[in-house]
Amino acid sequence: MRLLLVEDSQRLRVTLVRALARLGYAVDEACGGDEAMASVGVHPYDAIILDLMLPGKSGLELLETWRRRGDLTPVIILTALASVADRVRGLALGADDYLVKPFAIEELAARLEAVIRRHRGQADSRIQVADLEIDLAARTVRRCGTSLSLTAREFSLLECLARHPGRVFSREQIEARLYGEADSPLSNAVDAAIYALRRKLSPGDEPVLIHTRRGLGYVLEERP
Amino acid sequence: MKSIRRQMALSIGAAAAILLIGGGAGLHLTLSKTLTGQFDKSLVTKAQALLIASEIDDGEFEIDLDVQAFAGFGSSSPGDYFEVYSEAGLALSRSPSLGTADLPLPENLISELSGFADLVLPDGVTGRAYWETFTPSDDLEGHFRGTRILVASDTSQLRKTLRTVAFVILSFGGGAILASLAVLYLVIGLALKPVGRLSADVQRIDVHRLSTGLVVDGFPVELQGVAAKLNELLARLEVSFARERRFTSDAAHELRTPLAELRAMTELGATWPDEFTAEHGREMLEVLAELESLLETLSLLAKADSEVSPHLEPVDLGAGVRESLERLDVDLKRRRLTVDSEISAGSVLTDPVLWRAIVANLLGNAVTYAAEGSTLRVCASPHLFSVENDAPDLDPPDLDRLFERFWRKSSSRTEKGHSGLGLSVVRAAATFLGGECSASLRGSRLLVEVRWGGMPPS
Repeated sequence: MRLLLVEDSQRLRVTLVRALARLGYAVDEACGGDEAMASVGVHPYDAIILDLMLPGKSGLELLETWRRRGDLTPVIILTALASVADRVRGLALGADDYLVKPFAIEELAARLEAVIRRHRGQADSRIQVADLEIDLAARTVRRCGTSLSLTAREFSLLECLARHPGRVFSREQIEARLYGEADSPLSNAVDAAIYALRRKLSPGDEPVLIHTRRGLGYVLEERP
Repeated sequence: MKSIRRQMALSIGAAAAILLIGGGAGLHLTLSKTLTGQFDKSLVTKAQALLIASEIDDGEFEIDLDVQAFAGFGSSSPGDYFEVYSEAGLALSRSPSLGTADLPLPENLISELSGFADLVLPDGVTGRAYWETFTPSDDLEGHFRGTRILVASDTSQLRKTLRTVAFVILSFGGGAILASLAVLYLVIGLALKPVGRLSADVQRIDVHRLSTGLVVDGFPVELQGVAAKLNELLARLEVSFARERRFTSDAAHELRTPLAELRAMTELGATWPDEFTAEHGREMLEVLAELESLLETLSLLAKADSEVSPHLEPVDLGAGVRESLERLDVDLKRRRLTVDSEISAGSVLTDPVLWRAIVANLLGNAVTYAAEGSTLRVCASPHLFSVENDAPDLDPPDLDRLFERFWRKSSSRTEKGHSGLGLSVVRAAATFLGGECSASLRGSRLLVEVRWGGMPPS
């Protein structure tokens, strides 16, 4: 899951990038309005965390521009402006959620998960593929009722594939969702991650669920 | 609960009652005296008529019976009596109405030649008497010298008349008091209606919209001044509340970002301890220092906004400026700024805390916002402290907002340590110290001056 964090406070930005990375998100960061505008044009994001008072273009101007262009990427406004009028203005311009500083990282993550799920039309945070159960909100995975332990990146990779079971994802697509601009993954990082995830999803003799489509990419599906 | 209407009606009613009772009593007394006077006159007239009709016939004292009847002392006039006594007290003649009875003698009948007295008549009713000492005109030998005539009449009619008068006065007076109380209550109610409306209007004032105030024209002249003054006070309160609300909201807003930073850093370290490094600790201390600085600035503003007198003491002019410049030395060098200062020798009589705040804020702003490589000009004298620097980003319209609390040219937080309170602290402190602070643009150079017109140098 790839996010864009637009925040002018450097300390908060750096801290949030670290925390979100630990939660399995790939995060790109922008410290001003113009930088954010440039990033959105280049990469597809699963969600954007947007401060309002920014140097250059303000957060509300950015949001208005994106929505006018038809970009419906979920946006969570993260700001010190706490008045009802500010919240209403932000939501009216197309923000999906509004979080006032100071906030809990745990709450930000839950809201991120919720807006992304809503955006994809998934009311339930749980996904089931064959005997594999994934709870995106609780960030837990069970196979045949047994709890599996995944790293944040592995969970992110599984989430990426599980949100669209049966759909083939290319290496590039997976890489774009798993790694931010600041990350520099090795060329076989995706293959290595897929290999590790396959092993963790089948600790016993369970059938493999992640399959390789030669020359195309990877797919999560149950095969008879 | 006390009511002006009830109190006024009762007070005025009580005053009216006292006046009416006094007036009634006076009227009754006057009438009583007049009627008694007339009664007495008729007694005297009757006595005179009897005296004229008296004669000495064969050495006997007599009064013509026709005259007696004419004067009303006949046997058919039971209420009127007379009796004539010799000097020795023997009855010489009496009215037929007395029969064989005697009139009771008043105590002072002997000692005084004439007079009036109240007495109980033979028929048991109260009456009034007149007596006179005389000598019959035809008593040539003087045998009847010192003869006294006592004339008395029943006063029951007079008393009845006076009782009727008293009853009428009391009835009308009581009625008038009750009626006046009712009328007073109504009239006072009508007169006080605008006061009631003023009270209702004041109670209806919305605490969140004080400036709507009262409609002054609707009140009588006596209350228009009160309403106008109330409106003025409400307007001032509204402005003051709005300023307080904005300040509180701005202060809360300024605290939110550093708190968010601190919370996020703490949460990161607590959830993933391997993420917590010494660098993190230093950053958290930086945030805390910024929060402390913000709180100190807010305390300074609160001090400058308070109405207590400043604590004045001599402060060395040069020392304060040099101390502030030393603290800013790293930034001065980093931004390649030079300082051209003109500082008078001696000291200024001022509040040392506020003076340091003025100097530090003006110099700090100049160092942060001046164009790199430019020159700052600093002047300090007992009556003036000014800082001039290049401010290429500032426009003339910005001057109006320069002293607003929390105002920054850019609303973002990329400028560390500047909350937008500096210049408002300078202005509040200057005003508190009896001076004034102003800013002007000279081309692209910003000049901020703090002047102490009335502050004597030490």
